[in-house]
This record gives sequence, C-alpha cells and structure tokens, in this order.
Amino acid sequence: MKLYNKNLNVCLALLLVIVSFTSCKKFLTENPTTQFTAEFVYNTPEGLESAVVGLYNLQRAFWENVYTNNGSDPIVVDSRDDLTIPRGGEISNYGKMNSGTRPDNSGVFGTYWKTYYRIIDRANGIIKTAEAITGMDETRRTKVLAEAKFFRANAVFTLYKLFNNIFVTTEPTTPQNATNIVLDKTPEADIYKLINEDLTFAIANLTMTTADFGRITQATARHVKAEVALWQQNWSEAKLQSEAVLNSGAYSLVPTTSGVFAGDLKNSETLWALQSKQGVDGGVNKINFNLMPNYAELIPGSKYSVEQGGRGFAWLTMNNYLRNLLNAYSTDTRIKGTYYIQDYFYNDPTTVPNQALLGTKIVHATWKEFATASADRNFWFIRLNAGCKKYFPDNGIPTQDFQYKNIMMARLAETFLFASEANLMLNNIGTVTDGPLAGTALGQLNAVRSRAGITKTSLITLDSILNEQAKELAFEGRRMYMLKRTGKLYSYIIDHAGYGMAGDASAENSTAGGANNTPAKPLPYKNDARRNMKPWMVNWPIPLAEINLLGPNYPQNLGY
Amino acid sequence: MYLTALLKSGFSRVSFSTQTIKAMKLITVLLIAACLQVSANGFSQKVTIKENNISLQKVFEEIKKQTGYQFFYADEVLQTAGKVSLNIRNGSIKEVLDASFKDQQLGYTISENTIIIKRVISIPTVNDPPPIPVVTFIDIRGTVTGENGQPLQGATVLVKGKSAGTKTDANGNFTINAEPNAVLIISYVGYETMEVNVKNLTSIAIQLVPAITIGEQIVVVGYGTQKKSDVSGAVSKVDLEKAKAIPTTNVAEMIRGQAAGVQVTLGSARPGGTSNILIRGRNSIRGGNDPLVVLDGFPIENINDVNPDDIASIEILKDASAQAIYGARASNGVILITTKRGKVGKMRVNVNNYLTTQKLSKNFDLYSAEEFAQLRREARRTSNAVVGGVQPYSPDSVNFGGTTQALEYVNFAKGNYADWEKEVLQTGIINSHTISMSGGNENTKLFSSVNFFNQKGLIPTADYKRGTFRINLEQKINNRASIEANLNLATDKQRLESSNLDFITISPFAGPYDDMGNLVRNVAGTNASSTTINPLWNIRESDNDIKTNLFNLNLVGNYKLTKNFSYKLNTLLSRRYTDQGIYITSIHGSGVTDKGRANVINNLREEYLIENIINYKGQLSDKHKFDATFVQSVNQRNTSRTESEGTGFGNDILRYDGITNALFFKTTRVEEQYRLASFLGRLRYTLMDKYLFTLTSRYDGASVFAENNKWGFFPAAAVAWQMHKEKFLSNVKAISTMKLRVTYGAVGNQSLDPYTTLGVVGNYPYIFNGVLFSGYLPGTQLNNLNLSWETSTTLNAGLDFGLFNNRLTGSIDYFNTRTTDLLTDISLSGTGGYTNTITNGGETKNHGLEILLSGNIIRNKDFNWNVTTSYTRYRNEIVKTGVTGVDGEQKNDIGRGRYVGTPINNIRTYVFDGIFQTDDEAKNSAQGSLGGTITPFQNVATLLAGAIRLKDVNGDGKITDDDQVVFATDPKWFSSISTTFSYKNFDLLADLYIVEGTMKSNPYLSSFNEGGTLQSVRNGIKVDYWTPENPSTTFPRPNYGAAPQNVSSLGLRESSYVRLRTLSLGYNMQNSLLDKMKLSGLRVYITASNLFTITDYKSYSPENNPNQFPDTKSFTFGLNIGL
Repeated sequence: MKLYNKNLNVCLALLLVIVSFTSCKKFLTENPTTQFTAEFVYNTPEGLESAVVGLYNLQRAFWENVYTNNGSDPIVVDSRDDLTIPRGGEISNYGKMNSGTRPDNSGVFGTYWKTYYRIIDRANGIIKTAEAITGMDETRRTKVLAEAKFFRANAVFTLYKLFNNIFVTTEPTTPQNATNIVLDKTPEADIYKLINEDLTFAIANLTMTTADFGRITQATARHVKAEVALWQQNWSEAKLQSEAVLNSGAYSLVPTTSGVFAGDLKNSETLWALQSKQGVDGGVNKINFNLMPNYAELIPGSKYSVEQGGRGFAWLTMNNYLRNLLNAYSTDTRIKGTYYIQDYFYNDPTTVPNQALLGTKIVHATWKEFATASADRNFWFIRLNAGCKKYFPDNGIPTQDFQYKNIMMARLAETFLFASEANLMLNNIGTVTDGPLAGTALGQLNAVRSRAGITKTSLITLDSILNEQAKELAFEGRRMYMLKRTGKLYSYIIDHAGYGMAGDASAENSTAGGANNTPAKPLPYKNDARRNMKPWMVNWPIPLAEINLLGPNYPQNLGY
Repeated sequence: MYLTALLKSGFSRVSFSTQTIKAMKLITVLLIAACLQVSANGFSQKVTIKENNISLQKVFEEIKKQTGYQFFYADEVLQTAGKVSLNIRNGSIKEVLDASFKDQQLGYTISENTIIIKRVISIPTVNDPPPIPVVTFIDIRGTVTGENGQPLQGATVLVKGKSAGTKTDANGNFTINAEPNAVLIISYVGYETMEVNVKNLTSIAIQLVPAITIGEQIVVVGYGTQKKSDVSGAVSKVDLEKAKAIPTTNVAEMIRGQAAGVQVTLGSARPGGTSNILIRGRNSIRGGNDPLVVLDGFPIENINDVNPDDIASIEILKDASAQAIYGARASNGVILITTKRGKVGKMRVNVNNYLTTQKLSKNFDLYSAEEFAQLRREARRTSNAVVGGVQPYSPDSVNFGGTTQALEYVNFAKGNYADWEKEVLQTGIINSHTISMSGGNENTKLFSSVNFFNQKGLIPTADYKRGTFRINLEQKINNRASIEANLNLATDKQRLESSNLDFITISPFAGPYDDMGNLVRNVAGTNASSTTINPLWNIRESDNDIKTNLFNLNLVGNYKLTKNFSYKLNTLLSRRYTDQGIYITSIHGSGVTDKGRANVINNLREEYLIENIINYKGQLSDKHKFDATFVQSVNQRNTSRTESEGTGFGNDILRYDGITNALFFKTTRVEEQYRLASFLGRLRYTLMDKYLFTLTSRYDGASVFAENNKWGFFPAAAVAWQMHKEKFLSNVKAISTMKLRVTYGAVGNQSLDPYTTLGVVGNYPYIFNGVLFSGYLPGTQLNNLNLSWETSTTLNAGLDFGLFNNRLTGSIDYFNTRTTDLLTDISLSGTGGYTNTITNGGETKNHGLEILLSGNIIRNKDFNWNVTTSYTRYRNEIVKTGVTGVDGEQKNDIGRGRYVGTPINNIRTYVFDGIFQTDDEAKNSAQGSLGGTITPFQNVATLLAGAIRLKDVNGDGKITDDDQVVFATDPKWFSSISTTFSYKNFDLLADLYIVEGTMKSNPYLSSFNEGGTLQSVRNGIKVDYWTPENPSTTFPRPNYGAAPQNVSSLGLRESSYVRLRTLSLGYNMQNSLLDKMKLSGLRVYITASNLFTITDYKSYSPENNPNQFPDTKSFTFGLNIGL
C-alpha cells in the first residue's frame, strides 16, 4: 500500500506538470504593449530616424535638469572662466574652485561625462546598424548616418576639451560587453581622427540649411570642424571650414545684437539651437535664474520685467573685467540690454516713492559697488550688478525661476571669430576697410564689432580676438575652451576670475593687494578661484565615481 | 463543528484507482465533478472484536475495517465518551454498537452503509416515569461564558462522580438534573476546566478562563492550518488584542512589536499612510524587502486594504521551511492574515466605535523669535571685518534685509512674530465605526462587516476617509463539497496637502497673513529673492485627491474526494482602481509658468490567481502520520496607468475637473503585465507524535526574467522534535512543553519590473521647427539577457518551550540566511553610455536571533497579570556587490553606497570631530593646506575658528576620501515589552517599544532648507552654536553667506529610542448588567498612543524627520457593543 501511494503521488504530480507545462512557455513570454524594444529602434528605417531624434533630446535634457544644483549644471563650464562672479548658490562652489578641484569633489563634472558618453554610445548604435541595414532608402540612410556622426564627433570633442584623458570607442555597448573594464585612454591622434572623419562625413552628406529648424546642418558641422582645426592648429583647415559657412550665403549676422537671442532663435545667425515648445515638448530651464540679479527686491519702484531679463538670484554674474571690456566703447549695444544688462530702471508706478524717478536708473542709497560696509557691497552684487539675459525668453513671466527658452549651441558670430583667428595665424590680416566676407582677419573680426555698435579696429592680435570673444560669447559655454586652446586659461583665471583688480589674488575685501575700494582699485570679491587655480586644472579631473568604474591604472589627468 | 468520515481501512485497489482517475480528470478540467460513491461491496456484516479498554473511535475503525460501513459524527460527540471493553465474536453491527454504547450518552442510526452517531440525553418521559430517586434531584440552570462574557456553546457540563452530563446551547445555557450539593465540572475546548459547587443554587453563572494550551492553538500556515505543537518552521502569531489597540488603518503599525523578528518602521504618518515591514532584516538590495501579505490564502498588494476590525488572526512565516510554500515571493517573509468567519450559533451583531484626537509630539525647540534674531546677528557678524581685534555686529537694518523697509526688519521691529508650527498645524481627529455580524448553522456560516473610517490630519487638507465592506460566506453543499466566498469592497479618498513639509523653519519674521488678515503668497515679500511660498497659500491653491476603489473576491471550492484526498480550488479576482486628481492654480508657488496645471491619473491594477490544491492525509499507524499537499498555481497581475496633464488655464474655477479647458495636453499611458506559474508540494510526516518532518519544494516560473531563465526551484526541509514527550523529560515537572526545530531551505525573489530584460526603449521626442517628432532610444539602464531568480537560503534553529505548567512560555530562534544571485543594480562605466544594469552578481548574508518570552505572573479568577517580551537582533552584510574588478575581485560600489563587509543600509560620511577653537588650529589641521603638496581638502579661507573639525580616521595627517566611515543605520536590536493586567472587569495594557543602535541623518542639523546650516535664513532646531564668546564644541559658527564646510557630518545622529506606544484601560460590563440591557457584551476603553518617547534624536518621532508628515501622540475613546 505504501508503494502504491508513492506511485500515485508521482502520477498525480506528473499529470499536473504535463497539463500545465505545455502552455507555460507562452504564458510567461513578455509582450510589452506600450513600449518598443531596442530591436525595433535599431533595425528599421523608422526606428533609426527616431533614434536620431532621440540624440537631440539627450543633448537638450542636459539643460532641463532644474532640480539638481538649482539647474546650474550646464553653466558650470562658464563658472570656470575668467568673466564671471560666482556669488552664491551651488554654482559658486565650482566657480570659486572650491569644488571641481579633486576627483572626489567633482560630482557635477560627472553629468558632463555621462551626458556626452551617452550620446556617443547611442550614436554608435545608430551608426553601426544604419551601416548594416538593408532595404533602407540611401538618402534616408546617409542622413541618419550624417546626423549621428555629427553628434558623436561633437560629444567626443566636448569630452576631450573638458577631460583630456578620455576613452573612445565606436562599438555600441551591449549586455555582452557592458562589464568589460576600460583600461586606458585613447591616444589624442585617434580621437582627432575619429572626430574629423565623422565631421567630414556629416559635411559631405548634410545640406547647408534645413527646413526642420533645429536640425544639424552642414554649416553646424563645418563650424565644429573649424573649431577642431583650431585645436589642432590647422589654420588653413579652420579657415576653409569657417569661411565655407560664412561665404555660403545661407547665413549672416543678425543686424543688431537685440535680434540674436530674440524669440525662438530662428534667425540668420543661428547654426544650431536646441528646441523646445511649452506645453508640447521640452522642459523648462533655470539658467536665467542663476545669471540675473535680483534688482526688484526691496527696491521700491522696481519690478521684474521682460526687458530687464526677469528675475534671478545673481549666482553667477558678470565680473568687472568683462564689464570693463564692454564699457570700453560707450556705443557697445551688448551691455545695453541685448545680451547683458548693467543699468536697471525704476519701472513700477505703483510702488515708486517719487514719480519723477520712473524711467531713471536705480541708484540705491546704500547698496553700492563701492560702499564702505561689505554687507552693502554684497547687497549691490546680489541686486544691482550686471547680469546676462541671453537665456530670458521674450514671452517669459519675469517673476519666475523656470523659463522655456531655446538654447543657442552655435552661431555665426563665433564662426567669424574662428575665421578671423585662422586668418591671423595665416598672417592674412587685411585692412580695416575689409568687409565681412573679404576673407581677412580684420574683416571678420570687425564684422562682429560693427554689429555690436563699436568701431572697427585696424590692429589685430590674438588678444583682440580673445576680448571680442569674451564680450560676444560670454555665458554661452564657449570661453573656457578658447582660453584652454590658446594656453591662457590658467593665467586669465589667476588674473581675472571673480571680481577685483586684475591680478589681485588677495582674499575677499582685503586691501593687501593694493585695492582701496575705488573704481580703479576695487576690493576683491568672490575671487577664490584666483587662489585655488593650479596649472593642471585646465583639464577637469575625471570624477571619483567615474574613475572608480574604470580600470585600476586608467590615467587620471596629471596633477589630481 | 467538523464532520469526519471514517474511511481509514477501506482501501481496495479497485475503488482507489477509480477515484484517482476521477481526481485527475478533476484537475485537468478544473471543475468539481459529481459526487463519488464509495463502494462498500464485498464486506461482511459480521464483526469480531476482542479488546479491553479501547476508545470508541477504535471500535468504529474496527467495524469499518470489517464491514465497510462509514461512520459520521461530530468530533465533540465523542469527547465525553468513555472507553469500552468488548468481547464479541461474529456479532452484528448492532450488537457491537449496543455493547459499546452501554452507559454512554450516545445513540446511533444506520442508513444504508452509513452509521450516524449522535449524542442522546436521557430525558425522563411522561409515559415512562423515572424511578423514584433515593436523593432529591433538582434542575440546575446555568450559563457558561468566556473571558469576555461571550456565551460558550457546546461546553460540557458534568456532575462530578456521575456519567450524566449535558452541553450548553447557543446562548451558553444549560439545565442539568443533579443533587443540590453536587459538584459540576464544566469544560470547553480552549478553556481551563472548572469545578463548581452547586450549594443548593438553582441558577449559576460560570465564567471560564482561557487555558494556556499553546500546543492546541491553531496556527495558519501556507495552504492550511496546523496545531501549534505540530509546526516545525518559525512562525509567529500576533497578539491581536494588543495589536488592535492602535487606532489606525495602518495594519503594519498594528503588527509593530507584536512578533519577534518583525521590524516595522514608520513610512508616512499622514492619514492613510503606510509603514514598512521588514521581517528578519534585509536580504535583498534592489528587489525590495517587503514581505508577501496573504489574506485568507490570497496574496494582496497592500496590507492596509484589510479593515483591522475584520482580522481574526495574523501569522508571520519567518523561515524558509514555513515560507517555501510561497517560495516565489516569500524571500522577505510572509504575513498571513485571516479574517473572521461565521460560527455556528445565532447571529451576533457587534458594534465597534472609537474616537481619537491627535496632537503633535516633538522633542526639540526651534529658535524663538528673539533667539532667531540673535542667531541672525551672529551669522551676519561672521563676515564682518575684524577691527582692532574686535568683530563688530552689523546694524539690525542690515541684519534683517539690508534696509529698514525689508519685511523681516519691519516685522522684527514691530515684534510681529510668527510661529509657523501653530499657524499650519491643527489637531487631528479620527473616528471609526464598524458594525459586524456573524453566525450560521452547520451548512451556512456568514461573517459580514461594514466600516467607516474618517481621519482629519494634522495639516489642513491632509485627510483620509474610507468605507469597507466584507462578506465571508461558507456554504456546505453536501458532505463532500463546500464553497467559500470572501468579498471585500473598499472605497477611500485621501487628500494630500501641497506644501513642503519643512514649513516650520520659515523665518519667524515672516507671517502667513498681511495686515488685512489675508494670506500672503511670498512670505519674504513680493519681489524677494527667497522663493519661500506661504504653505497655507499653497495648500489653498492646490488639490490632490486620490480616490481608490478596491474589489477583492475570493472563491474557494472544496471537495472531499475520499477520506484522505481532498481537492480545493482557489480563485482570486482583485481590482484596484485609483483616480487621482491634482490641480495647481496659476497663482500657486509652482503653477505660474504653466498658468495652472491639472493632472488626472487613472491607475488600474488587476490580479488573478487560480490554484488547484490537492491534500492527502494519511496514517499508516498510530506511529506514522503524514499529509501531503500539491498545488498548481497561476497568477497574473496587470497594471495600467493613464495620466493626462493639462496646462494653461483661463481660470482656476473648475480645478482638475476642468482639465478639458487646458491649452496644452500631454497624455501618457503605461501598461505592464506580470505572470507567475508555480508547482509546489509539501509532505509532512509525524513519527510517534514526537518527530515532525516537513519537506517542501516549489518550482516557479516568472515572466519578468530573461527568456531562458524564467524558472527557479526552491526546496526546504524541516525537522521538529517534541522533546517533552521523551521519557527523560516527561518526568521533569518544570517542563510542560519543549520543541526543538531545525529548518533549512531556499526561497526566491523575483522583484523585477516587467520588461526589464527585454531592453525596451524610452520616449525621447523632440521639436523641429515647432513640429513634434517621436524619438526612441534605450534609457540609462542597460538590459541584461541573463537575469534570473535571486535565492535566499536560510538555516533556522528554534526552541519552543513552556515551563511551570505553561506559566512561562517562549521561543528562541536563530537564523542564518545567505542570499545568492542577488539582483543588484551595478554602476556601469559612464564611458559606455549607460549608468547601470541589473545582474545576479550580488550576495548578502544575514543572521540574527529572536527571543519571545511570555509569563503569566499572576493568574486567578479575578486578577491576571501577563508580561510578554520580544527581542530581535540581526545583522546583514554585503558579501558581493556585483561589481568586479579586472581580476574578478569584488569591488565596492561607492556610487550606490555598497561596500563589501558592511550592512546594506548605511551612511558613508566624514566624521565630525569637534569645532576648531582658533584659526591656527584650523589652518594647521588635516583639512588645511599641506604645504601645497596636494590640493587641500578645504578652502583655507573657510578654515577659521568655529569651523567643523573632521576626524582624520586613518591618521595620515590629511583628510581624503579614505577618511569617510561607513555607519550601519539599521538597529542593532529592537525589543518590545508589553504587559496586561486584568482585574475583574477591568483590564490594562501597556506596550513599550525599544529600538537600539540605529542611525539616521537629520537634515535639520545639516541642510539649508531645514535650517541645519545655521545660516539664519531659515529657522531651525535650536543648538549650541559657536561664537567668539561661546566656544562651543558641538556646533559651528553661523554664517549668513555660506553653509559651514562639512556640515553634512553633523547630520548623522543616533536615533535609538524607547517609546510607550500604547497604554490602554478597558472595562467589560458585568453579565448581570448586560442581561438587563439585553446585550451580549459591552466594552469601553481609553487608549493613549505614543504617550512618551525617550530619544536623543530631534524630531517629531525618531522614525521620521521634522520635514515629513508629523507623527503624533493620540488619545482614543472606544466603545464595543455586542447586540
């Protein structure tokens, strides 16, 4: 009987298994209904095209992260130049170089690292499959390849400029190779080779303009290739690429600086702008809040307005070095409210203490740039210092922290400066009368100066290009790269970062460097970077969290 | 009342296999087939029996064996039957039965092949007058009730020294004819037998005291019940009396402290909030550590779906052997909740009401307005230049906004101070009303209840309302078949406030109202740089309502195939529908840019479960008993979510219901499906009632795993030894019961989101020239094509004991768990473009000790005193992080806070080591410049007197990343001590909860928004901060412009505590009064919850921070009425 029971049990169990097993495999197979799989994306023409669209989204997402570090991550690169005052907030830790000086205090750099490597990998995936896919229309395929290659080149180039010791592969990451450990950096020559090949392909296969405003064009690719050439000191290539854009007839400088950042940035000067549309797609950013001062706080008669760039907290404002450069010419429109603003006006009739004050410049009784009390100077920096309003939308609500605004990634004014620099290096200087398209260093530099309302120059040196670049492109994430490329980043930070007399590295409010709190000899303010900067810091450290994930002997940049 | 068919010896090959085939058919078609006939052909009608002093059961068995006749009787019918001696050769069945029933109060009827045994009480009839008694007999009437005055039906009442006896009826009443000086013996299962001297009384009320019969306690285990004495795994039973003293819908909070090894931590104290339950600590890292909650045999999503008043018992399965039956989801333990069932007897109606008021409980002070002003002066002074060795204070106009028009200055000057805690918080009120009814007959049993719960929270618009309805029905169809249906319906509405909960730290110089008494929006003034929005404003300008409908239906079919085989079909259909509406007006703190925002979110969760269960109960002889359970189960869960967001509203009048009027719309839809298929079996074998063996195994397939890794196998084995039944212990008087248990086994965890292994892509759309293009790319997590089950293997050794006649009972358990193939997120190198992937590469170990002791210190008719204590300690440790180096060695995953050899939950931080008292001390410290050889850890400009000193942990003279220390945050141990006193009709319950060695990071000591950075922008917890005149060693110097460097090291605090969770006094009305009021029971009670807490952790509760919804102290008045 015992034996029998056992047989019975086995029998029963077996039956259960047989009855239910046949359908089990199917039962447990997953079929997502609201999502696609990577298979679809990389193996169909439609999928590949949508993947390219995704690359733009990844690039934009960098600006949309408003909740970490008060949305300041994208302008960390600006805080590390010679033109800004890191007055407060998260960004100031990087600007003062209290952070970003060692692998373990450089977390935000990891955002740059991860963002651009992500773009590289997704582009790798697109390129690899697009090259292999069969049955895709050739025009569509080359367009996909060209855009993806541009993104890869641009991302590799950005990483190289920031981190120097980078590893680059063209192999997409897969579950099989994901845990392979990266042991060494890629040689510089290989990096440039990849960037140039990708850009060459993009230039060959993209049109100079696009009906899909916001897409990469041949002009964008040439603009970037010109910059790459400048890094490689290949002056003729830089001239070739930049002038190909300038002479294409497709682009021109916007006549006045007030039009450059107007509206959705769709103008003759824009080579690439990140796109978003309120309520449809794309999120807000918090850049303006970081850059603009708080001119209406506790100042009766003042309110935040669209013309004055809305409201901010003056976390990263303009320093006296840049302001002096801009004010060197009284006619420079850029600091008169088109790019930057230094004078704020009484504009609120309901609170103004004296109606006669309306429309006049705000001059506070105690909050002054050269007030005696440091607290009063501090209030002036928060509320009345010059700010950058390039990120404030024409239709923005001036009291708000978050704004919808397209982001300028590349524009023709810089192409002019690239070309000018190349021509200078080729000793192709020209004369003061040269027009913008004359193909001379002076003609190209003066194109930018004239548009800004200042006189043409007949003298040109690298410094004059550097100064024009500072005035034209400050707060657009371009300055640090140019200083690094020209070998001036260390000395310019030592001399100008934060606020104070040129070269005064003494502590905040200190008179030790000869400052006496006058316009000629201002007291140092938030100039910590001058003391913290070290020659090796021209390369950003690979953040600790990232270097930990690389091989044990992966080379950190020298000095860290 | 359980009917038992005796078929113990009637197996024949033919009849058996017929049934087997039928059984198989049944399973295949998942239907209950028609009744099976038991063949009884071929048996003799004659019986031969020769036995001395044997039980009637034995006699019946023998008759059955020889004749094939079946016996039906109620178990309790034979309870009072005596043993018999028979010597009959070839007698008829009638002869044997007559001989057996001589002197017994039993009778029988024979119908076909079935013999039905009944109790017979000889009642003297008129026709047949009784013999004239020698002594006068009288009719004695009485009532037998239980500990709460509830009538006990079926209690046996015997006259001492006689065989005469009776049983109580449904109202607990009995009448017995006995001598006036007789002694009555009253007995009832689960109660101590009592002797009562009649003393010429004709009416007696007898209240029985529950027996301490731990061995007889019935414990719910997976797919069945067991006597506690037969349980071989680690199973805890929650003391519901104590648990239900907590006035809440949060069932997890009720379990807290009621079972060893079960840790409950406060999740959210908000109305309708939840808590986290952790059974035996953490094994899993990413899979979650929430236990599986099984309600009446069916898994449920949320433990709070059960109305606490409906709960009949809660059992917790803690070791692998107990859990293995639920293997697929059981690695974090299983909580089995059983709801009340109807009982045979008349319908009883019970009404339970309570009212609770809730007040803030806290153990810290904020700065008063004057103190805050002084903090501000100090914080401003810090950056002033030292002139002639003196650091002057700034004028107050500078201190409070920089101008005399500054709002803060105005309020400061006027003495307009705000106490934000008072402005925002109100008294919370809870009321709960339950009506339940229960009753039935032998065929139909019913329990039903309705509950209405309403809680008004401490913060305006944070409230919760719930209505629940339950009906549990058991219907017997015939002797073989029965069905059960449990239906639970619930509807609730939770309202959430829209405000940061750190409002208490808003500056006291900014109030919520303007001079006209209207709410202001920006508390710091209209154009202020401070974006702090008045919390009351945001609360007014927003809605966030979550309405949930829950429907949970269980249908169960039972069919007894043969005496030994039974089949059960379990089906579950559960549906939870959530409708959430959120509206932020165009003047709300975050609604301006969008011009009003509405979100309407619908979530639907459906769950199906079908289980085919076959039970086999066998007994080879008295010495060998066994039973077996086989289950085949399929489970499917579908969730879908549709969210519509509308922005840009012309006006705010219609709130979220007016979403149609939005300018822009965005709709997202997510649908997921999860499936599980399982086969499982359990074999239990009992040898001589002393040695218990259990073998369990489960084979599970889960849809979430990779295509070829869906199946996992989880076996477990258990041995238990009833030591007190051994000769060498049976003579030890002190030991009443003693059982040793050892179990070893594996359970699985499959907590992965659906489609994780498939590599689905995310939506990355983009706009070109104003037109939307869809974009798809893989997200930041790389899929892994090899993901499979994580397995926890546990060794458990336990000892259950009852000493001194079970006056002292308890159990001790040691467990050691190793979780392998642990599902872990691992960080991937950023160079690959992904941040992480999931692997099975992790491993943890976890071991611990649990002790439960319960002592009945005083136990007599009027006064009882019991003390119960539980103690739990455990420690988990990461063995493998899943991240490997070049040579395959295990590496720490610093980004995720996982370090080999440290607990899963930890905080890694630099260690606070005091305050620098002089500038030189600071500059020469390990944090300072080191001769320019390396970049100093800290900017030297901030290395001043009053700055925080960090501990140079490795003593190398510099502070680097290596000086960070990993602190474990889970408690070293926790314990509860509860005591119950009862004196006559009064009872008192006190429940103390102790958590030791736990660490938390308190943002109120380290974060800006919570005032922890001492910048005096926000108010904060009052601390002894450094000033030149007050050389504090505990907190740094305030600085308005900047947070103290390394302030985060100040946040880490010990959060151990001792809390009196419950103090409850109750009164049960006497029976005599109840009778007059025609009630069956009446109880009033008052309960104080969280009456006091001893802790160094500064917060509303050591388990939540002051920026979370505040925990409370509460007082409850309750009334239970039995109609």
